[in-house]
This record gives sequence, C-alpha cells and structure tokens, in this order.
Amino acid sequence: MTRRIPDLMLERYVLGELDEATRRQIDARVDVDAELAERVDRIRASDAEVLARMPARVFAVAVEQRAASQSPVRKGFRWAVLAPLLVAAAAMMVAIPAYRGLSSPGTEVVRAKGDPMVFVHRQGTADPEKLRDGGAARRGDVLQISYTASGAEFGAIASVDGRGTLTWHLPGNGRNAVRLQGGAGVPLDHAYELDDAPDFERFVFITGPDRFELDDLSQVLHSWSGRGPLELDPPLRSTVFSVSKEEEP
Amino acid sequence: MSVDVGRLYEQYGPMVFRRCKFLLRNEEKAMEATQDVFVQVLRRADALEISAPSSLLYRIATNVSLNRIRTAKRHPEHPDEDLLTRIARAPIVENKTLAGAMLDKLFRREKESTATIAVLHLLDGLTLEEVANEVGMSVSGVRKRLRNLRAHLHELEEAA
Repeated sequence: MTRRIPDLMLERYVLGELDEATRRQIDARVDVDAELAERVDRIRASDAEVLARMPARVFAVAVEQRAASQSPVRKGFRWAVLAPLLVAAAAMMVAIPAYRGLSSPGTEVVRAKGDPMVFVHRQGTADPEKLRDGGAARRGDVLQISYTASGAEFGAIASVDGRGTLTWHLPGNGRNAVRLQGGAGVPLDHAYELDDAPDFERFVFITGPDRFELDDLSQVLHSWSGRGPLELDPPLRSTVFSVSKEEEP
Repeated sequence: MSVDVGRLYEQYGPMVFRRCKFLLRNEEKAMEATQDVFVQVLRRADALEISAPSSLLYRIATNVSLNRIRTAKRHPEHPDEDLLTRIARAPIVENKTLAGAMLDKLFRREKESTATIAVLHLLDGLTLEEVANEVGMSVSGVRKRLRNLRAHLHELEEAA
C-alpha cells in the first residue's frame, strides 16, 4: 500500500521547497494519483482564497497591532502601573481578530475591555510604520486606520483636516454607525492617502452601545476646534488620534 | 533581522492558516492563531531559516494551535463543540480523531515539544526520520520522547 503523503510535505511541494529527488517522486505520483492531484489543487485554490479574504497589507497591520498589544513589559515598572496594562493586554489576547466574512451565525464574540482606541499606520515598501499620536506625516502618505473596540458595540471613524474637511472612513458610505468587530487592531478595509491640507489630520473614533446616526455628528465635528477631546452626549464616547502635517521639503 | 510580514504572509500565510484550521477546526480561531504565529516570527526573526521557512512556520503554527486547544480544554467555551465536530467528521478522519482524542489528554502532561512531535508523527503521519528532521533531533531522541508519551498514554488508558 502506498503511503499517504503528509500535508507538510505536500505544502512544501507546492511551495517548491522540496529537494529535487523528493519533488520528482511526488511529481510522478501526482500524474497517476487523482486524489493526490486533487489535494495539490486544493492547496493552490486555498492559497488564492486566503489571500483574497485577508490581503497581505491588512494582515501585516493586524500582526503589528497584535505584537504591540502583547509586548512584554520592561522590568523595573511598579506593579501598580503594570497591572492595568497586563489586564488590558490579556483582554486583547483573547479577543477575536479581523477576518472578514467568516463569522457564523450564533458565534459568541469575545470583546476586549477598556477604552476604545484608534491607530494609524503609514504604509510603505517595508512593514507598515505605526505612527504615534501627534506624529508627523506628509502629503501622499498612505495611512491605514485600525481600531480596538474594547467592548463597544457600534462605532464610526472620521477625520478632520486642517481645512476643516470632514471625511468618514467607517463607514465609507452610509449614514449610520456600524457594528464593530472584536479584537485588537481591526484594520479598515481601505487605506487613506493624505492630501495637501495643511497643519493636521485628526482621526476621531466614536463609539456607543447602540447604532447611532452620523448626520448630527457631522455637525458636531465641523464645529469642533480640535483642541482637546470631542465632547459628546453619553452614551457616545470619542477618542482622537492626531497627525501633524509636515511641510514639503 | 527585519521581517517583511506582508511578503512572508503572502508566501506562507495560507499554509499556516490551513495548519491552524486543521488543528483548531474553526476558521476564525485559525486566523487569530495565524496572526499569533507571525507575531512569534517577528520576535524570533533571528531563528528564521531564510532558505526554507516553511518548517519553522509549520511547527510554530502547531505549537500555537496546541496552546489554544490546551487553553480551551481548561476553559471550554462550548463543552459540546469538540464532540460535535468529531461526530460530524468521523467518516472522514476517524483514525485521526481517535488519535487526537488521546493526544488531547496527553498535551496536559507532556512538554510542548513532545506534543508537537506526537502530532507530527501520530496525526500527520510523518516517519520518525522526518519528524527528527523537522524538530532538529536525532531519531533516537524522537523515539525516546514518543516512548515516554506512550507510557503516559498507557497510564491514561488504564485509568480510563
């Protein structure tokens, strides 16, 4: 009886990482073994499907966020300072990540606790660069926005630039907040290229326990000075992430 | 050494995802585990074999998944899920399921590397030589680990 080729070996076969002799052996078997040929085809089809459902760009941002949320804490910090950080990190580690389109009906979503957060990464040729709040960016930078709902059910993300232009990023279209995904660092499904508006770009993440309309919030955002927090009527909450616009060299 | 996560994922992410999905039997949990695998890659960049990282990634995926299985056993979210999944898949993977049932019990008693060795040999069907190559041990070392594991298995069977 011919031995079944282990999945790992077949994965390497598809990746082209087997030694020449082993590759030839499998080549020969694929030609005469329909079941084996089907397994190879399934791997190749799965490759395309996984990458289509979770593109590399989105995945890289999610991993970086995840790595940041799980970073080991330096020794020497006082335990009183550490405790809430560790609790927050532990909560993030059990949260369900972004993998769009795979939730099944009835799936219980475990949500992280704490304050909702919004993050911004600058896309580049290498790994995405996580910007700090108040960090610098310039025209043409492509920014990836992501959020951690921290238990909030519904939310929306907008930005206001130095000209006072308001842009809704989540949802990109629509007049209502959307149901948020659980997990740390859920990236939006599109990136955002900065235009030549001067001074700043302020990203605002608004959350609430129920779905809320965006029209009234647009009015509030237009009249917001950007200095200090955005005051909203409870139970809505907001968190702001600012990017400073650098002058062109 | 810096790691281009996006590029590495494009090449190996689907393989890692399939591995996690096979062990965890849940797409959403598998994608979460896949992200954890690449987080570990970021932290272990120095150990990454550039010529053929599939082996390391496959083993990390196995370890990450086993950790999740072990945690789930201690804090079951849905006590019947495992039983239901096994019943649903029994006609296809009966032998694997039986082996997996034994392994699930053993993971709590064995070192993580032994659990990985057991999965590679008993569940995935790699030969002792292939397992030894995968985990960077001698064949006799692998055989010894499995012998210890089988002793535990025997104890468990007798205690059952």
